[in-house]
Amino acid sequence: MRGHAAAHPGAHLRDPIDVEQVLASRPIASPLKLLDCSPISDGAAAFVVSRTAISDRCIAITGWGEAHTHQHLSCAPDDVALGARHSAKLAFGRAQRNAGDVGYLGIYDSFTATLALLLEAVGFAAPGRAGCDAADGRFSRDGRFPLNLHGGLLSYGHCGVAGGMALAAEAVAQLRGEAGQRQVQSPGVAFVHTDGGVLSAHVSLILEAAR
Amino acid sequence: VTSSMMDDVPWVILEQCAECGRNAALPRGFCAVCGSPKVISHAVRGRCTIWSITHLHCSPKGDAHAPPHIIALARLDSGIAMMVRVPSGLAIGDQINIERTGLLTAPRFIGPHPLV
Repeated sequence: MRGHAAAHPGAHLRDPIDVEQVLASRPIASPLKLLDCSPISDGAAAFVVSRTAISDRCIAITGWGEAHTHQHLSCAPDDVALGARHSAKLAFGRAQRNAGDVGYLGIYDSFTATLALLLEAVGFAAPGRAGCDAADGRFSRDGRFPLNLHGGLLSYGHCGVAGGMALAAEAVAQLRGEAGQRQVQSPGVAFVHTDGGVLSAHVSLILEAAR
Repeated sequence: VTSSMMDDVPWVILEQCAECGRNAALPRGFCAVCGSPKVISHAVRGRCTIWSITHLHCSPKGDAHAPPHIIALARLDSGIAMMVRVPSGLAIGDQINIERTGLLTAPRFIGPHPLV
């Protein structure tokens, strides 16, 4: 995420970091270190949503899904990201799309662990493989599933609900072809997912250039 | 509270649905599964298994304890999970005993299982 943030002029944290620096940062809640956690940021985001397209820059919400499995962590299911499976399935079903159709990802990365759980729950990485896949470039701008190219919550910044909205704002910029040096070639279909609470309340969106 | 609760084994008070029998650790005044408003306080044995554990290195403002705070999610034999402060040296899968004397009381670590 830090490498992606370097290409966004509005990102909160843009200085490059490497794995050794993350591991050497101070412990917060084991096994997470400071650099596994998103910062507390200032920021805002807004969307104009209309029933019909009002310009040729409009992006269609072709699928959406929501799920709520618990509030307090002690009531979480064994599969703690189960809500993401449910909401993503609803969204893909409504859009008549599947994970293989997706060319851009905006996924909630409040902590590195959250991102790994969500990528694996929705099916963009095999169970236990999200970290290895990231290291192999699967989620880079030129990888199979370009992810959070604005830097995500971890580096673009976490300003509460607007931090999650920034995931969608970048997806819209990518689908419009307006992401400048961060632009992915022909993303086609974007999948956006955020959660609230402690992996409690989930929402998924499928966004596409008007079809 | 029954006479059997006077022995040395710790007990945990839960909220139980009088209709479907489901237990809940967080008191709601109704059953979160079947929706019944008929719930009663119910005691179960406090033996549980550590399902997840973390060392917190930050403290909330005003917290009297110095970090790290070791917090576990401990799962009772019935499957109900409760969050409890535990001492160092424990790991996922360890069996411990906890006690909770009322629905609004925080669970308390008693010791590893069996009691030593």
